[in-house]
Amino acid sequence: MTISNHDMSVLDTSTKKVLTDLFAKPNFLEQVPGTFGPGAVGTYMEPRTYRGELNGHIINEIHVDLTGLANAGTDTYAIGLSTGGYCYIGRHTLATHGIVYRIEMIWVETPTQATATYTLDIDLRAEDGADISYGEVADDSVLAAGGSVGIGKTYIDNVPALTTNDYFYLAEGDSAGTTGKYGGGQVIIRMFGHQALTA
Amino acid sequence: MNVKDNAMPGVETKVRKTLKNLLTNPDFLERVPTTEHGAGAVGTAMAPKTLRGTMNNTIVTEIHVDLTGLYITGTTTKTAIGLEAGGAAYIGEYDVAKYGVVYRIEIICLETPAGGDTCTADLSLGAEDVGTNEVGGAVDDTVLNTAGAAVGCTYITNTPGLTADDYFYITEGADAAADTGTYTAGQLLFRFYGHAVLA
Repeated sequence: MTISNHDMSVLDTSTKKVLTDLFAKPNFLEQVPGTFGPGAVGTYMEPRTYRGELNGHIINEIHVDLTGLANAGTDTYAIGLSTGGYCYIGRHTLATHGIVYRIEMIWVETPTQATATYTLDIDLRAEDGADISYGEVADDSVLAAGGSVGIGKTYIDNVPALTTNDYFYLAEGDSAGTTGKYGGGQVIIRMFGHQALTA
Repeated sequence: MNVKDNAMPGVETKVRKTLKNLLTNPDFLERVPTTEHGAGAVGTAMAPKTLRGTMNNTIVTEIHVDLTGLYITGTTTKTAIGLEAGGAAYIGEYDVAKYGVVYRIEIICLETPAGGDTCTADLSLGAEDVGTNEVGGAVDDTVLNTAGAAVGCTYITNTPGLTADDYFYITEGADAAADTGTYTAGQLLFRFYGHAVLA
């Protein structure tokens, strides 16, 4: 929807801007304080969490840039800062996520290699503890890419059946890497949830 | 989208409040005020709720059902689940004028079905051309089978191929191990995506 300035000529500038922004960007997700460990903070940006509700369905997005993070070279190992620090990127709580019934992993930039050797097979995993660092196993598979991730690829899990209060980690999906750092790579983890029905 | 109270100084308070509510509650589904289910589909936790709305010409219909208090006759697939005392057990009717041409259906499980004896979680969405079936009544067509509904899981069909004016029932799936029993838990959210015929 396009609004011309003269369509709202009777309104003051501030109001006009609010309304113009509304129609141009009808977003319902808002950035909220994220739950992530220091080992998940790369050199480009820290993980960002966005949350909103539409028709009672709760949508959470976690945006992660891999730049500066590293893989240790073993399947199921968490991806994070090679210098250490817990590297969870989020946490599933019923209050913030609802009962999650679908998860999508959307790649908007293909991971690139800064130092050898990296893997492109990257999964979302979960673990009941927040104390997993780079090079440690994240126990439970949530959403496996099953191969090389890349720009424009989306992976969907319709049966996540998450465990409440688990922490999310990005992890290696194979053992192709050898302590390589990522030079790029951007992923959006999108989760759909709903609270239990009430009368 | 956050709108500060002083963002629209030229707008009177009531209008500003309305605009703020619009921005923070972008829901487009509204509860259908008249019931679209039979008396035999009303459990003890809550009556089925139907919500409907349109966005970008896509018609979304949701039916929220809590199985608590509903009864399964067991052992026979494709039979209706409903009140033991009887009453038409349909949860909705496929009226194309209301639903549009439905091209996708999801069953989202928010609580795993469970109950006395061997109440099965293997449930289906069934369709039948009559709306008089009571609990245990045969429902001709299986639209979407869960093969065992579990919390946090979504079941999808992209080829529902519905017949206009059919009635929707929750039916026993292929699990013939089920016995007679009354559900004590189980929350299902049925979501239909439709579009009017192009004109």
